[in-house]
Amino acid sequence: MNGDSKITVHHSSLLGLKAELLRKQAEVKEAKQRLHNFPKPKEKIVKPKEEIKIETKAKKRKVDETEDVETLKAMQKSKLMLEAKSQLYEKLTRKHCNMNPNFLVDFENKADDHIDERVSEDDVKSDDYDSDDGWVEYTDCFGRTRKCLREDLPKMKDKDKHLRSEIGVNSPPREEEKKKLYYEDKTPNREPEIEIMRRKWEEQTAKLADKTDIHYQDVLFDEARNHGVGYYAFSADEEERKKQQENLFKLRKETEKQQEENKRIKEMKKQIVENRLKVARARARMRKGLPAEETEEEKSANQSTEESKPEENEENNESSVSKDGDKDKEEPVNKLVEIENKVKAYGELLTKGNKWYVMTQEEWVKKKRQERPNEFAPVYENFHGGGTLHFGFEFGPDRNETCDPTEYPAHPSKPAEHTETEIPSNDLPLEEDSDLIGPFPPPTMLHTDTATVDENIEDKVEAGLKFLRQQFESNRSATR
Amino acid sequence: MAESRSRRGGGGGPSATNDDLSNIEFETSEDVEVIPTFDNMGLRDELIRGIYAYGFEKPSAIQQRSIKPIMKGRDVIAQAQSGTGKTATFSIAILQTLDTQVRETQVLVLSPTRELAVQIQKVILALGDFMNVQCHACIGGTNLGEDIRKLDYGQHVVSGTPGRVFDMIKRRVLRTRAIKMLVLDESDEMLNKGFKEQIYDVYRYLPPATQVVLVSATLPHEILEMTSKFMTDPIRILVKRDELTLEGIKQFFVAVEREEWKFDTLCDLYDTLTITQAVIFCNTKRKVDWLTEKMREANFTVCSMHGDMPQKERDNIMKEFRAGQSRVLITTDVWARGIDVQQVSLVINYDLPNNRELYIHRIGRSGRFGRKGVSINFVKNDDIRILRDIEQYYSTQIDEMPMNVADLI
Repeated sequence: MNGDSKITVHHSSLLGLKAELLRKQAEVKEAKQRLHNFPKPKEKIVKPKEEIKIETKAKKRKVDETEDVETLKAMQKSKLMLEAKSQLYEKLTRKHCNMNPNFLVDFENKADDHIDERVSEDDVKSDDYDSDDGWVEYTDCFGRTRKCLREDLPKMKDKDKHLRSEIGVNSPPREEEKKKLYYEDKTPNREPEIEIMRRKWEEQTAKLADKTDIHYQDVLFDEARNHGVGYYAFSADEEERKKQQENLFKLRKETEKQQEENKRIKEMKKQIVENRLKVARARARMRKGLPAEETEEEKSANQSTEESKPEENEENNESSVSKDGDKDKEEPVNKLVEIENKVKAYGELLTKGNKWYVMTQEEWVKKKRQERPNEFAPVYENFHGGGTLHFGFEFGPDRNETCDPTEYPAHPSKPAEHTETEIPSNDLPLEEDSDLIGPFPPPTMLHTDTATVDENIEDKVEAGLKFLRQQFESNRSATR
Repeated sequence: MAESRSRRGGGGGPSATNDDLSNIEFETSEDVEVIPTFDNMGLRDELIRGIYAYGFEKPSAIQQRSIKPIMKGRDVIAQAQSGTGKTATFSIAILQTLDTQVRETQVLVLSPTRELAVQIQKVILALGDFMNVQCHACIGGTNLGEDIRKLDYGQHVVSGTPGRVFDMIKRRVLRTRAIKMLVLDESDEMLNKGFKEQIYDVYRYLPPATQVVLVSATLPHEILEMTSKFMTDPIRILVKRDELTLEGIKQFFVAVEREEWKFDTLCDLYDTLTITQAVIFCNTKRKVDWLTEKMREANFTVCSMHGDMPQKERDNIMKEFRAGQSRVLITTDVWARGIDVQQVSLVINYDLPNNRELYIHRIGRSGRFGRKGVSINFVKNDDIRILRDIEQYYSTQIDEMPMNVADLI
């Protein structure tokens, strides 16, 4: 293909040039004023490959057959074609080279040596290239090579210029023009995405001109910036933005509420854990045989009772709060309550087997008295010494209930409780019982006495139970 | 300096001091409170939210020290290394002191370049997003009518360049009666020969009790001397010059025998440049144009910016670069100060800067807010002396560029 094109170019140009030469030589003397426009092949764009072929060929010829007129002509022709092409290229690439206006850049980024060669050729070339007989070649606005007489060159150039302006083809920009055109010219070369973005930004800026309120999102312009996690890109629309902000505010309030709740629940849990630890510590003390710490233990027991009350309150609160939605929190707390209940029950069970607890005399006496059927009890209003009649145990409670309001007005309901809780302690030593059987002090004295005794007993029993519970709990936690 | 004194007008400050201050060593004020968290600074809720939303979590050293005094209304001179959050420092303090119910200019921020003024506007809008703050960039090269309209709407803060701001004040479009605070960003540049006159012009129009805040990474002695003329008992938070360079910014040099070789070196480095984003500094606009042209000829994609370009083009280049659309920017010192593009990790000094301060500012375009950065200086044989001088002055280290420089970015 290359060969073909080479040949065709060669043939046509040679023939054309030959004809021209002959005609010129014939006519040059007789018609000096007349101008001859020689038809030339109109090749506007020649492929670089072709061009290089021609070029190298031309060079070879130059070396081999310089005398040959035809070769000379061909050379000249190719040279001129190259010039025309370079101009075209210049237009196409809109290349602005401040340093060297003759410097050519190959479209396809081809080897540099070719460029160099062309440059050197370009340097040789000039507008007023001389042939023997005062004829001058020049390139017109279509990139065609033309010939005219030397003295007509300015005229022809003017003509050409006029034509150029008429057909609207820009002359290859000169340096001053290049500089001026710099910014406008850059635009078509820019990547399409940047073009799109620029257009977008322009639209945005145009909108901003009429906006009263300008916000961050209006001026961000696609900036590649890392924001914090809390960043919220509000809408550029003012109403939408307001809505978004209100929503955000609401959400924020909710979050704050939730945070407060969570905080409270956390504290509560912490307290429960602390209590457990206290109990565990007390148990450890007991194991080591440090009963002397009882006061402390009692304290802690008291504390635990005090704390257990608010705990229960909080549990209630919590359950009401957790209705709002936090079910995860509800479960663990409930579990805790369950555990605590179980512990209580166990503690009560365990009191049965406890051998170490020694009741005080009063406690024991009181207990025994309650166990005693009333028929066999002394009649306090009118004391007559002890009877020995034996009634069934089952009467006891009834009698107690009926008798108590009169006999022990200070604590009507207590005895029932005691019987329940103290039944298990049957196996305690019985020797001390004997003392109080027999004559009894007057009812008034007895009344006050028993009242105080009762109170003491109650306290102590309660404390004892608590302690048992603690022990059991700590046992449990230890075995866990 | 005599000139500036006569121009001082009614400005506050211990004006009677004619003492020679050139022998005094300026130091950080005593008992400057250090507040380690934003939560403890007593800022309003919306502002705190804006701060966290913008990406700040823990205040930097300068923020820990300067926000409170500015909030309290003290005159403050705040110096800190480049990219450690100075703009955010005064922006936060400004936003805290604003009354957003009043749509009048309450704070005026002046900066040396239009791009910087726009950037400050952006930061203030970002931090004050939840406060719905109004901040206007009042800069030259833009439509006057639009500027006037925007100021007419009422702006809480105006961030601008001295020329246009002064113009707006003279036209009585920018009303100064409600201004409580004047901030000079890059204050050493603002008080330099080129700007000093304009700053004083603006300053004369402000209410007499206006609070003044100066901020910069570099504060040469002569600038600090000048401050007594328009500041009242300022709190100083300063950095010694041997602590001014950041550990995170590695500095290198490439020695070239001839100027032409710089270009080849740059081409060799191009792949490294495009790892993230890079800024190349030349000393003149002409050279920027020339280098840009030459790089493009060699088929490298670069963009360029300098002060002779139309403002619109400057804007577009900035947006492109900020959006990450272009990766290599060839520019002049118009870009040296304050511009914050997070992704810039490489700075090349194609020409060495004309003074030591500019060196700090130029290399500070990389390594923003704790990120890593690399700066490479192209030096001809006779430039090495200058570089060594800079090295010594800041007690820093500038080594010959290693082969694996790309690994450091």
